Amino acid sequence: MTAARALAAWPGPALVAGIIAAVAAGAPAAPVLVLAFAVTPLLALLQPSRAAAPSHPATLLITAGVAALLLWAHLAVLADAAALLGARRWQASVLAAALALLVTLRPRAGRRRGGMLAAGGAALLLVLVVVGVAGEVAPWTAWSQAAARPALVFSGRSGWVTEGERFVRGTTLAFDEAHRVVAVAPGTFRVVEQDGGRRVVRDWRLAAGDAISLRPGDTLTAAAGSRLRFEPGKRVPGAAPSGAAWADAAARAPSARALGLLATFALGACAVVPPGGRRVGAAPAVALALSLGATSWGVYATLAAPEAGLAGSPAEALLSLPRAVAPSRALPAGALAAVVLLGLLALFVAAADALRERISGAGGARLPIIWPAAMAAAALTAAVAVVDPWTPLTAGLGLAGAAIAAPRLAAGNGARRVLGWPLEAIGALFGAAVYAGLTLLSALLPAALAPLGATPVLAAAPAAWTVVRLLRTTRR
Amino acid sequence: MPASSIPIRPRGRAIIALPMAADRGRRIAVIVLIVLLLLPLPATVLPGSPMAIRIAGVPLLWWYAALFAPLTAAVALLLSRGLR
Repeated sequence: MTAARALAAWPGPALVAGIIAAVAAGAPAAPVLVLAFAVTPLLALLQPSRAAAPSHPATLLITAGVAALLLWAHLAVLADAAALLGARRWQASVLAAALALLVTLRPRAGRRRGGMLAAGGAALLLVLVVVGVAGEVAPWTAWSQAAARPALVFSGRSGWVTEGERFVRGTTLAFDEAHRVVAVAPGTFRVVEQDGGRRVVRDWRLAAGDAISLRPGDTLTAAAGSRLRFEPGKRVPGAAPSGAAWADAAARAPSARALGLLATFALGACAVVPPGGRRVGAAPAVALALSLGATSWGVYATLAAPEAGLAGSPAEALLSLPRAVAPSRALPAGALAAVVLLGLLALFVAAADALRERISGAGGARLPIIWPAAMAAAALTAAVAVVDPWTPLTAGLGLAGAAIAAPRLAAGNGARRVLGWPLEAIGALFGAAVYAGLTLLSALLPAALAPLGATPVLAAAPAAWTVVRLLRTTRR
Repeated sequence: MPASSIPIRPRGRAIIALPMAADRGRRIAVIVLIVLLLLPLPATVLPGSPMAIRIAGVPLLWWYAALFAPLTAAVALLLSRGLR
């Protein structure tokens, strides 16, 4: 298998959008995310090659669950992008899922996977280069300019100022200065005011064109689908207070959170990206494209559209760049946004085919209904549930790390069984049970164990690994 | 014991552990990549915040995460195949 085909499962739309949104928002964990995004798939390629694991219903079920979670995350980003562009969520979700099924169920689909990955990556890099050339600013210069801003404010050309934009998810905005916002469509908004230390909650039902005046310290809660217009030159609520605060946020990343993210990404990559074999030709180029491309995109987004996180979807950071470039005769309005969407779609189809192969390898080849069922479940959930794509993405990667990668690394090349069960299947069940238990009980954990509730893979993966190693030793 | 029909000629042979030799490059590369991934964790809590030092306006941590570490990881991956 070539490196491009092996890596296809990794840079799906949810991961690409999530990393870019983290950079654009100045998230404390952003550098660690970029690092993990680029390096962990190479780590996965270095896994020892091994004979196919003995198939078992438990491993097949868990692999299908992981695939459904990851597909859900990717489809949620595509649905968000459609909602931001004025289409319906279900249209994007169903169409993308149908296209992916059509491509992946054709004979020799795997041979086209590398091409899909290259086409998707090239489309996004093309948009990045066009934006850089049009703005005549290199990424590091854009960084310096963004970091030098005294405040991150709405520009007069922002869609949130001119026509008003739509909130993809329910969002609560905290205001640091007086701001007058106008409802573009009728809706109900909750305002919490701080009146001399007293908290006053007011629900406002606004018609189109009605305005609310907010004072410093107030919060405004907007429901999903509502549309608002903001004032130009005012600070973006929820964004970093200044360019310097945005640039320095990374120095404050808590180590426990960073370690949890690294473990989730590293083990998740080892579960979804197969060993690379001898041919690794394209892998270094993919790693550099991921790190430099995602960082540059996020920096340009911060400079051009600091309000890119307002809608509550990581897709907004992706779509903010095409909107920031002024349309011309050579580049009509919407052309770059279409290229971004096509690039995301190609990355989704490539990732979907790689996940289909993982299900097939876990025993799904004998049950061909599993793959379409996982895709259908993901498409339905993405169309109905308006959940942040980062949630199913990290859940899928964490579960994959705890229940697929850790038992496989512990089992090695042996095909031992205990009471008729393959060691990997026992480890997978144990890892999945610990992962699910910690996720469900995270609210009840004491403060000292809170990091395990936030990133259960930190406990579930070692637990699964230990169980398999103990069983492997006792059987000798 | 029945006599063997397979001719055995006792000649000197050099013993080379081929699987171990082939695996050496991969193991070294794995260690390099794990170190690259974990390095920022202690570096961000060092006194004086060395990762916040700016080069061309960009903090050292970002140069490391976006360029140096992925580049080093890519070189390590290529070399691991070369060592086989």
